[in-house]
Amino acid sequence: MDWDKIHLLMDRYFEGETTLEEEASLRRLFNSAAEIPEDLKKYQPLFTYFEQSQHTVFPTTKKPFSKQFIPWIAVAASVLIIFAIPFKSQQQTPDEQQLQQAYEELRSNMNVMSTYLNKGKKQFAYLEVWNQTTQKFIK
Amino acid sequence: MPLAIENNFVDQIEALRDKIFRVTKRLLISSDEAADATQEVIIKLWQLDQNDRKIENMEAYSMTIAKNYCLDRLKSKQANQLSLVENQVTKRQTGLERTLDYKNQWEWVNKLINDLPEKERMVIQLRDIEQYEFDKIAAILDVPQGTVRVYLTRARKKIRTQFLKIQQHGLG
Repeated sequence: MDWDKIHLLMDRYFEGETTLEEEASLRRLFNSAAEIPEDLKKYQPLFTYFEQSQHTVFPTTKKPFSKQFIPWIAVAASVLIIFAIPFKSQQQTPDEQQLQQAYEELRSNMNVMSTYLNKGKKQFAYLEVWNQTTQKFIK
Repeated sequence: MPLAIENNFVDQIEALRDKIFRVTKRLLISSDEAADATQEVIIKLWQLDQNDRKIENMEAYSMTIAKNYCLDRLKSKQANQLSLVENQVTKRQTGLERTLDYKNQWEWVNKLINDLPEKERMVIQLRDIEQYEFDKIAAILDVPQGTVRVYLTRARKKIRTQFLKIQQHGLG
């Protein structure tokens, strides 16, 4: 290693005359395992500081919402399970057939309703045309 | 709006977030304040017009917004008080009587740079840590390149003086 050259480079560095490439080479040197002469070694903390500071990242560990509420989510879930178990066993007692019947009835009712809804929706198509034609005149 | 452009913009901001944080932390000192400032800067970038979002130099632009935001914050009394408190804490931790071990060295350099005037601090951050060319730094700080060089030289000379000082005291 040509230490005289490094000394000159350091002088130029402190004068603010070095290029980015030269500064990068200084950073590499001071962050390497190289044996650095005593008079230059004192500047080592500066370049290790620069090297480390490049890697400072935005702190993402701060998640107050999720961390604060995780225990409560667990509590809510367990309460739900405790209440749901007896409820579920009660529901299984009514006759299956009766349930099926109720379901079919609901289904047919929904079908009828949806056909009416669709009929109504078709009427809106006319509205769209009306909008387009009026806009021509309003503009 | 096309989803591709939107995603691209999110990626761009994501990539800049750490940089914005480092710069705001350099000016505001406190990590909490810097994290808040980073969020604010990102919101400002997000609110940009569709056309402005395609700014080629989004990076330099975000740095300018970050700098302006922090300088405004520093003007307010509250931020000044916070940074004062933090400075006292670091002062206590890095007594010069102590031998400078690795962690103390880091804190000593950190304090040394943070004690520089805002503009010199900013130039050191942008040059020595973010490694920007002079023209980019000039654009971010909105000053001529010559002025950037003056700030940088001044800052580095002060740093050197401090390093020579601890050597004279037989520490380091």
